[in-house]
Amino acid sequence: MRKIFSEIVLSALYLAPAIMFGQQNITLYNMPAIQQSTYVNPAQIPQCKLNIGMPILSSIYFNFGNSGFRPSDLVQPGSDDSLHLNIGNMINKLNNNNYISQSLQLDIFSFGIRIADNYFSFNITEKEDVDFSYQKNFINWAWLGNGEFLGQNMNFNFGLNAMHYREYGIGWACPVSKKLTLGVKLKYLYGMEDVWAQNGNVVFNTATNDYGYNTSDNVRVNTSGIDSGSFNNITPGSYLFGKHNGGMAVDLGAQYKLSEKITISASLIDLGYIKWHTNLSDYTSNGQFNFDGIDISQFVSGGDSALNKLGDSVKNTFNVKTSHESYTTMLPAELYLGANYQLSEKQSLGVLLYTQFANSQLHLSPDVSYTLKLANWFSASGSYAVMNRDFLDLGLGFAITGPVQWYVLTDNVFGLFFPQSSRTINIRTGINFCFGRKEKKKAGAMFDVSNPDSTPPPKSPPPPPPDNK
Amino acid sequence: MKTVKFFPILLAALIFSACVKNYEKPLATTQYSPLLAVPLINSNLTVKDLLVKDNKGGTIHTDSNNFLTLIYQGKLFSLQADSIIKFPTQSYSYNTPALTAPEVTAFNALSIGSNYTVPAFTDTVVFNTNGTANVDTVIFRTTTFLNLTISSQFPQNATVTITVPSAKKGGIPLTQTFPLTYTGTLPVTVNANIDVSGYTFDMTEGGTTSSKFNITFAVTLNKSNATPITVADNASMTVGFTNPLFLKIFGYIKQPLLSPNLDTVPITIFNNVLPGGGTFTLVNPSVTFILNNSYGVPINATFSTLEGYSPGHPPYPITITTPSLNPWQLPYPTILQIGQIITDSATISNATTANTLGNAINNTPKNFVYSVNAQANPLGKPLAPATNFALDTSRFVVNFKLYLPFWGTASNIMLMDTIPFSLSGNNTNASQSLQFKINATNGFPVDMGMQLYFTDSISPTQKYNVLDSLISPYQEVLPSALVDTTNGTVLAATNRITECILDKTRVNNVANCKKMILKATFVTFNSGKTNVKIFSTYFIDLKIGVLAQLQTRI
Repeated sequence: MRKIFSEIVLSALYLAPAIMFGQQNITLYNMPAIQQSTYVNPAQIPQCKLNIGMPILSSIYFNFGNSGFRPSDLVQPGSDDSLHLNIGNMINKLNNNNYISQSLQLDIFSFGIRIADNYFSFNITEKEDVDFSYQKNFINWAWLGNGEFLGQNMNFNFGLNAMHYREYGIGWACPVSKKLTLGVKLKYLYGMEDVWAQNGNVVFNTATNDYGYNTSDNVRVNTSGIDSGSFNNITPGSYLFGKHNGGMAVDLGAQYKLSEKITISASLIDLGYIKWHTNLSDYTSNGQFNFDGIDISQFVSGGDSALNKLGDSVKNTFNVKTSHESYTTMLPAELYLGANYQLSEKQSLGVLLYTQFANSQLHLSPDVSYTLKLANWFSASGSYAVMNRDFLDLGLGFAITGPVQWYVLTDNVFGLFFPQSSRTINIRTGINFCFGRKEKKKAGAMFDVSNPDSTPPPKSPPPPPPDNK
Repeated sequence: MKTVKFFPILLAALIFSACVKNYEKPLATTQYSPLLAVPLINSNLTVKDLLVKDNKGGTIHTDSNNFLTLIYQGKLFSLQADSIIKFPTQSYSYNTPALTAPEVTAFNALSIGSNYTVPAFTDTVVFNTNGTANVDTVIFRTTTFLNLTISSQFPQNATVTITVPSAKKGGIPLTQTFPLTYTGTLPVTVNANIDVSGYTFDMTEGGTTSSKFNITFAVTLNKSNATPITVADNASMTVGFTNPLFLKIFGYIKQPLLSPNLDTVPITIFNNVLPGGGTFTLVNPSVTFILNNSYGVPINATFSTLEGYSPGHPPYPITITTPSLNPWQLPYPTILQIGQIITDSATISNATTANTLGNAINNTPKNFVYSVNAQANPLGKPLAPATNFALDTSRFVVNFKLYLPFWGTASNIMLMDTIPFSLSGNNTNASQSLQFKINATNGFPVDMGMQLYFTDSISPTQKYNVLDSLISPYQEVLPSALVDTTNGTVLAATNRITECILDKTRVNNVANCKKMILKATFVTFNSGKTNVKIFSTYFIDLKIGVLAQLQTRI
């Protein structure tokens, strides 16, 4: 048992550098009143029978995260009337592997309708994701100079996955029993631009005895819709609908009511791919380059072309080959594992483990949340999460729901107010139209998997029938 | 109550605005102090790399044992045969013998259309050689013509046939016929050039003389009109050569001097010897003369000059003690070898020059100077049946080869080169210090000192003003490889790492550097007291890198 525990701890430590990366929708997961919560768990069934997202404005999402450092780690006010770069401090804050992620999502159109117990939804969402990974030793090497790392193999492994695509999703959620609700969303993906560094490995060594350079690289970058030819003869129609970069993805979700108070849930989001066929340029470099200095025999023997030969040598060594082959990228899949405990009719506590798979890396974010339903038209949620190596990310969200629903969510409220001191800036807001929502005298349970409109069970059993004896 | 509700919002807004306001200040520059390691030079230098640039006149020969010999070459050309033997322009005139009265009467009595043959006549041409040769046989070169002018006073048509019986081509004598057509005007004239190229002119008249040949004229009159001829009528012929050129000549070409001019061979390796202090001794230098001769003539040659020479110094004469070279009787092709080049060679060394050759070399002369006196037929006219011959291109060539085998000693030998190097495009103010690391492996049996001078140009006359030097104080950078003193060969290379630091002050000194002067001085193993051998497998592996501590603001 101790061994298992220690392995778990070690694994957690190993994964710690990768904690939280990419999109973050922790607060949204805990807000079932919002129809966009089906984006993170398709088994969620919103309260309204008919939800229509306001075109363009129903869900606007922006996320920026840098696991490496906060802006205030780099830029600091000085004693004089100016800001100063504190690069040394910034480097100290870096982990060995660091990630910068940025996402932008815009719902062009969305709606959902509950028919009997089933809930069907449809969305068209424009999505843009950039995930870039960099290493502390590269920043350190560039800042201190290669002279500080003589004789060491400096391994720079860069990662980049940036894509812009449109998602057409059809979802279906259905209570299959009193306790279990399942949901699924099938998504057709229309890819527009992509940059994917399959390999970005560069090794640099500066020799101790003569400062000679020994470099090897293994780089492969696939692009679609990026090179200059992509913009020839382009029309709005061909750009928005004419590319042949198709893909499929599926979201799976489940909620299970363990007891009257405890609900567990899980979802697997963006399990899919895009196959890129249009305007492709793939760049590959795989070589080794040694430069120990100029061969002065060129000068000694009367030649003067040593530098030219050096240039040729570099050119030939880092011979970047360009090809135009189709390739497939996987979406960064996300896994949510949650549990909620109903404190009262209006309050619940939740725990959530968010996991993202991207660039062959596993990124985790644990979270605890508190959700409050102050009134039938107002719900709010607060959360605490560990994201981007920040251990004090407080999420906050609210939804004002009537015929028109307005909501604002963030996974890091400090990031909105103090962006310079945060590793994560994250916000989602939008306006939906909600119809068919029943007004109840008592607010419904927030995580009733069988009937979103159901009344929570009474706190005490009903009084026994009168004894006629 | 409302104040209480809005207090948290106001507080958050104030904190937010205060924090953001802090970051609205301008961004100041930041000090950037990287330590950069840069490889500058990486060369594996062999003898060829070190010597080629300054020894364009020399070639390095590698034998089967990889032993190296530096060879300097020169070449002396003798006078060419067509420069010695020149035939002048010459001409000869003849008249047909006068007809007698009965012959005139008989011709006038002939009917129209009849022919009358005038008796042929022959004369001997004395071929003028300007005294340069007694020609037995000559074959003329292309563009040589026999010029002919015929002028007839006969008021009739005629034909003239000219024949040189001893001039043959393909066994057929030279003969040509020319018609003269009378049109009522006298004289009737014909000009012609007879191509005699390729004809062999036998000028011995059957082996009895030289430089002579016979020519025969035959005239036939054709009665083409009724006009009578008279005894005063005749025809005149002029025959000659204009600048006749020979292809081959046989006979006796007498005793001309064929001496070529003086030849000077630069010995550029000695340019690297420091004046006043450099020494250079070679164990076994030698000179080889290689002769190529195509004259079919006995020639005696003697070296009138053979010496080492440096400007400003007296010459270092070399005395040849080999009897066969005093004089050198040049072999020549026989009549059966006409057109061939006969080769001979002779080598002189310390042993055959009473050490004067080694003495000349050890004085590190900048040039080798030599000249040859040569005379044809030193014993006079060869006795028959022997004969001289020459082609128009005949000459002899003396090839000079000075062999300097790399076996010996040297001291204070210097190599120097200039390498473009400018820091003007860089911010040298950023350089706080430059630490050069020289990692050198020496496979030569030579102690080597090296210095790198940073220079700029301060005036047209002072193009290399030394700003600073890399190695300060100067020190020996490369100790000699280990040497087997029994045979002078290298046993093992040596390695040394030398570090030189330029501090900020010295970095500023070299900021205006335009060119670097790389200077290396050499002295062979054991301070030049032990003979060593140099092989092509020897090398210097030189690596220079710099560790630059920069400091700048970004």
